[in-house]
Amino acid sequence: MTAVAALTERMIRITARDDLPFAILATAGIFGFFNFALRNVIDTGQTNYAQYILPVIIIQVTFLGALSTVDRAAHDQRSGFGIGIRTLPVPVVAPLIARMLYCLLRGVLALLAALAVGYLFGFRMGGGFLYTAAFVILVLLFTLALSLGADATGTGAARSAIVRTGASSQLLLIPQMLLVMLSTGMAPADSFPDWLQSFVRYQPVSQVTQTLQGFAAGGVSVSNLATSLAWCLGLLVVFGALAVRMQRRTE
Amino acid sequence: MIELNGVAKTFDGAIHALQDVSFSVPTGTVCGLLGHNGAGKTTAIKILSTLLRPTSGHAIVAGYDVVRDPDRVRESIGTTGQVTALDWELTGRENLVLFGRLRGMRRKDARLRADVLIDQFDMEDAADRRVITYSIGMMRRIDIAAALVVSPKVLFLDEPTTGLDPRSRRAVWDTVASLSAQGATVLLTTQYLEEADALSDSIVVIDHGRVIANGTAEELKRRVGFSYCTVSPVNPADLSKIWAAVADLKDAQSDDESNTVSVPAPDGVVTFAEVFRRVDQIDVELADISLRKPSLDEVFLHITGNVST
Amino acid sequence: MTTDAALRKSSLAVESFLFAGRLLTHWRREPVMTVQALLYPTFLLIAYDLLVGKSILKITGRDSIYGLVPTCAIAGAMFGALTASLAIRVELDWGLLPRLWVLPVKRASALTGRLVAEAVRTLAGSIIVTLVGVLLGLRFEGGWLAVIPFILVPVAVAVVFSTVLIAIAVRSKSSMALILVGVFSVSAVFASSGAPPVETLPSWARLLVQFQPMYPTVQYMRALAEGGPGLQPLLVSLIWALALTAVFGPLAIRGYRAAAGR
Repeated sequence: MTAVAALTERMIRITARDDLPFAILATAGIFGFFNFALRNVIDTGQTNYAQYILPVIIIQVTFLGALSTVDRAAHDQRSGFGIGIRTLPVPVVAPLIARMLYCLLRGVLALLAALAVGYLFGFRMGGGFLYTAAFVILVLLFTLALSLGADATGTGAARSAIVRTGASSQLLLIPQMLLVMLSTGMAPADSFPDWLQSFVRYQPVSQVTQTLQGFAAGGVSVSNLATSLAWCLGLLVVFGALAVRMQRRTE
Repeated sequence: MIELNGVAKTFDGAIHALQDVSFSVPTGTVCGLLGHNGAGKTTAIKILSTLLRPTSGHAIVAGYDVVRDPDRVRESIGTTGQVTALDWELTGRENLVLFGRLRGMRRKDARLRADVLIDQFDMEDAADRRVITYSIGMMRRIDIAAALVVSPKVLFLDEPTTGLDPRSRRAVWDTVASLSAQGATVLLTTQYLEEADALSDSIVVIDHGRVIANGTAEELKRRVGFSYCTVSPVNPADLSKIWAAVADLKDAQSDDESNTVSVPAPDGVVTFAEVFRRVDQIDVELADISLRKPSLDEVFLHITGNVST
Repeated sequence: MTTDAALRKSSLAVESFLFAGRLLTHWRREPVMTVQALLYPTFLLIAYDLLVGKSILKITGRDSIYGLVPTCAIAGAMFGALTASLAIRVELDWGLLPRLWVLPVKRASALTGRLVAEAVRTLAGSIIVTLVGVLLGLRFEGGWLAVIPFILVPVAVAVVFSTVLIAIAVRSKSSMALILVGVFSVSAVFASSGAPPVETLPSWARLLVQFQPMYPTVQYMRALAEGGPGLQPLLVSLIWALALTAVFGPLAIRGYRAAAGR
């Protein structure tokens, strides 16, 4: 386990200057931006807009973090250091675990930043301790699942030109943006055109943000909770297995 | 063709990269600028190729002042840098054509010229691959070819063979020799005395931003001298015994750190034979005994009287 | 090894095209980044329109598309310029810049060449976004000829914005400054988009939005499409453009020279 600790520490030291502050600033920035831009545009009924969009902002930041994880995993795979590690008596999955620990750390920081900024704009956790804990756990589950997927991509395709040049994370920006913007996390389903509403309602980002909104409010529908958990745990298992397999692979 | 007169360059008011540098390179000759890293060689080249302006002093290249007529200077020079300066995303051929056209050639002429250079530098197979895929030796070849696209009157080569394997290094040496034979003036910087020796008609030695020696390779070697004969025992404790055997020879020195005794060998092999004879008599197991050419450090040692950093 | 080829005299136009051609070849060889830069504003437009279109219509009674297309076209232009300027830092590390600087080319040609390449790429993106906008309901009430200036405005924005970015890129050690400028500028564009409508903003924010260079630019493009009075926003935009170029153009060139000397 000391190997994992050492690798994690190394990762933090390397990225502490750019990535972590960026995660915090990006969270605050994106939240501020969307809040100001859309709060008088989108009709969220009773709920304060800040209260409404906080979950989707967290999801968006998680996506952006996952994109950087793709590049980081690929870099670890190909860099001199990464290759050298594989000749040491260090468990093969240690670098993977280290990266995931880092992602979780960053996720926690981003979450704290979001909650802090959200609080300034009127976001409140109305559900009491258990619901708040559930909120945090769901966010971290989602973060981990996405990060594992990103890691698998980065490690598995590290040699391909598309990943090597960083083009892969750029490419994934578009689908990710669509998923986030066309979700009930940004606006209630009926503010979207009719033909789009079923997609908006049932896509995974909507499900997860809806659950998070519920947790923040203190009440969540069982079917929604089940769907969100199914998505998160399902992705976690699938991506987790994939990530481990990619990490274990030797050429 | 190249003339520096009291050139000085100070960075940020505090770093004196060059101080009162003066020397000249006659047309059609090769001059080697010799010095350690940080001595000021690259700064001098940058000033001569109009990348930097001297803080004081004058420099004339191909008849034009580098400060007053930089455009005309640029029309007459070709440069290569320590870092190969090529567009990595373009192929070798495309790089040559680009540089040709930027120098004023028409596209067709640039293409023909690129063909000639590719052939001359033996790069047929690699010419149409992106430079990013090249080995260092190939990059340097294209780098030098790019400097030659429009046969320049003056050529600046900044450490052209650093990092090259012996075969590629030889190839560069041959190119420089033939260029000079065709009338170009070449100023090349190097850390290696043997390279300066092999290529240059004259050598300028720079240290800490000053010219500390200037002359032909022969003159310089005569100043430094000669080869050195060095002896190293297997057992460092025996060093003193060796020292005792040769201490009376002129300028002999003993160095505990490197575990060697060195004796200047003005008579070359004759001195070597004498040293060998004496050492042989004292029955010490030797790790090494050899006759070697003076290193750059020894050149500096002799010229400056102190070991350069 | 003498060449008998006649050498043409140094010309800014030819050299700019050579430098532009070099960059366009780069982008052609990295199709993913280029395609992405062209498509990103398009998808942004579609997504944003789907998100707020219905709401804006309800609030202002006007189709949001008239504000969104200019916004996304300009945002796309800026995004592309930002990505390209980040590449300058990489090129600085290559050592290519000094090499090019020492050639007998006009001092400004490396810069103008880059701007030409940016303009070409932005033109392609601008056309695509406008086309998609038309598909989503954008109409040119002022006559279809207005399409031409409409498409050219993002190109002009790209050129001026690139100049600013290049001036920064050749001087700063890290990409932080560039990203910050990029973020602010894109935010400014979106603030000018009409979603949210300026009327709904608190008065201090309204002032801030209306006095930055992106606002008249977007307003001008809107006027072209809606057929409204465009002269005033056009003039204000031109003044901004000229001012920014006058300040950052020389800074960019001087920065290039300094960077080449390093």
